[in-house]
Amino acid sequence: MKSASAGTQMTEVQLSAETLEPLAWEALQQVYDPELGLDVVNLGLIYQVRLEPPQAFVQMTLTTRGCPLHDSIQGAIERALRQLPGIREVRVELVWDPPWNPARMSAEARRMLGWG
Amino acid sequence: MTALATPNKLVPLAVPLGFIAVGALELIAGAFLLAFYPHALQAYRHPVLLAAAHLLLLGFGVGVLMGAMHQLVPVILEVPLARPAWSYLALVLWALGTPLQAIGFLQAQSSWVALGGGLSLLGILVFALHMLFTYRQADRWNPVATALAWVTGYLVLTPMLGMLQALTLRYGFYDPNRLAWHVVAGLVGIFVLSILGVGHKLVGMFTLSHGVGEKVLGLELWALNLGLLGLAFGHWAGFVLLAAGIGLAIYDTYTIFRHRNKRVFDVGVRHFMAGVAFLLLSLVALVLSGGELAGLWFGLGFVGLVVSGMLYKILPFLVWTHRYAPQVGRGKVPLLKEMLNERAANLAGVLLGLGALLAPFTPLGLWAFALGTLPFGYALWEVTRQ
Repeated sequence: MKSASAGTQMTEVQLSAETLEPLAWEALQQVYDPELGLDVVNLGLIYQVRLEPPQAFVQMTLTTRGCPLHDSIQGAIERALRQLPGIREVRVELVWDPPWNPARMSAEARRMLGWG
Repeated sequence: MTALATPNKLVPLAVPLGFIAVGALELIAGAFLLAFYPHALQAYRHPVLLAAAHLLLLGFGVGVLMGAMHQLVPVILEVPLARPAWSYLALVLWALGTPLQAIGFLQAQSSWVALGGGLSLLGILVFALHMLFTYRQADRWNPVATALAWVTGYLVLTPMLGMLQALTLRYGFYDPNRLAWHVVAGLVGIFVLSILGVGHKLVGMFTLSHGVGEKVLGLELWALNLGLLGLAFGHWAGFVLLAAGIGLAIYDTYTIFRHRNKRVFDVGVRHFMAGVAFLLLSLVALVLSGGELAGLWFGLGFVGLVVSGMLYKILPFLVWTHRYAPQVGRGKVPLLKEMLNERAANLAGVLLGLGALLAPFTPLGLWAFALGTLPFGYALWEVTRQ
């Protein structure tokens, strides 16, 4: 009986995370680089999004090392994801390996930067 | 990301904004002084030329540099400023000193020149000490940081040489070579090193350039510094090394542009490109024609255009960081280019560029340059009103 209840709860969490994931990516598309006018998703800065309500985890990079917009972007990502139902805590991890490269940008991003 | 700053690593907006605002006003004052008194260009120790040169270089150029370094040093070294409160003292001393010094030149009041120069020097010393403490916190070092450290040294050396020159003029032991060192340390040590060193990082970020190493920048710094040393000892190799350093810098800039991911050059980057072209022109003019032509193209063209262009990028970002960054992710915030009145910036660029080009040949050039400072000032003002 106990294990059945635990199994049901886990399924609910998984379903909830699956439902939330597209919403999370949509929310991240509202976080813009003010210089380029491109969002962090289309720029290819987001490596991983993991949702385990009430927690969310984002692994990301930046186009260049030593860019302190990291703090602004981290705050922006936290604010954007906390607007999702059931998400109360957001953790953002900045990594440099693998480093960002232009191939990570979406076709839309390249078009907006004038190539296409 | 392509940004320059973050609130928790910054002094309040008032500090860089103060340096930039006073610097912009001194640019306008210096440019109109030259337009009203074009004959001042005929003698290198003419009081109006001395006043205008100090307003344009020590006022505008150095002021914007110090303001911008409050943003850039934490970005490049990945450390916070060590003593943010000192920035106010540096700002006040420099902002009082530079106009007082210019008035002293105009009124032929050597005591005012000494007082103004002394206050400016004190402000720069406070700034340099602050930067030194900040550099010491850094765990990681790179050639851009090296360029900034050299610039800080030349920022101190240049006014000290100037003050020494002024004192010896009054008390004896005057050496005309010292004036040349003052000028070369200021023009090359401060402006060439800062613009090309920091430009490597900034232009790379603004154009989303990728895959450009820092080896050429490192070589460039060696060449420019050894070139300055050579010139100080009056050796011809000094000039060759300076020319080689500038050549390397132009190659580095070309490589950055070739590896860019943002195709269109915006108004700030176009100003930078035009300014670098003026640097090349002034080098050619120095070889073929002499100091006056080269000096005008360097001061008005290279320094004027590059610094104004970089301000079109730096100032909107400063304001954005303090006013809009906390709102990102919640709702729509303006992009940086939406904060700048591009028409005014373009008009300023055309007038400043044309004015700098023609200034050595006709007073109309000086007027065009002076008039160009007005839309430039307006564009900056509009950004701060956002």
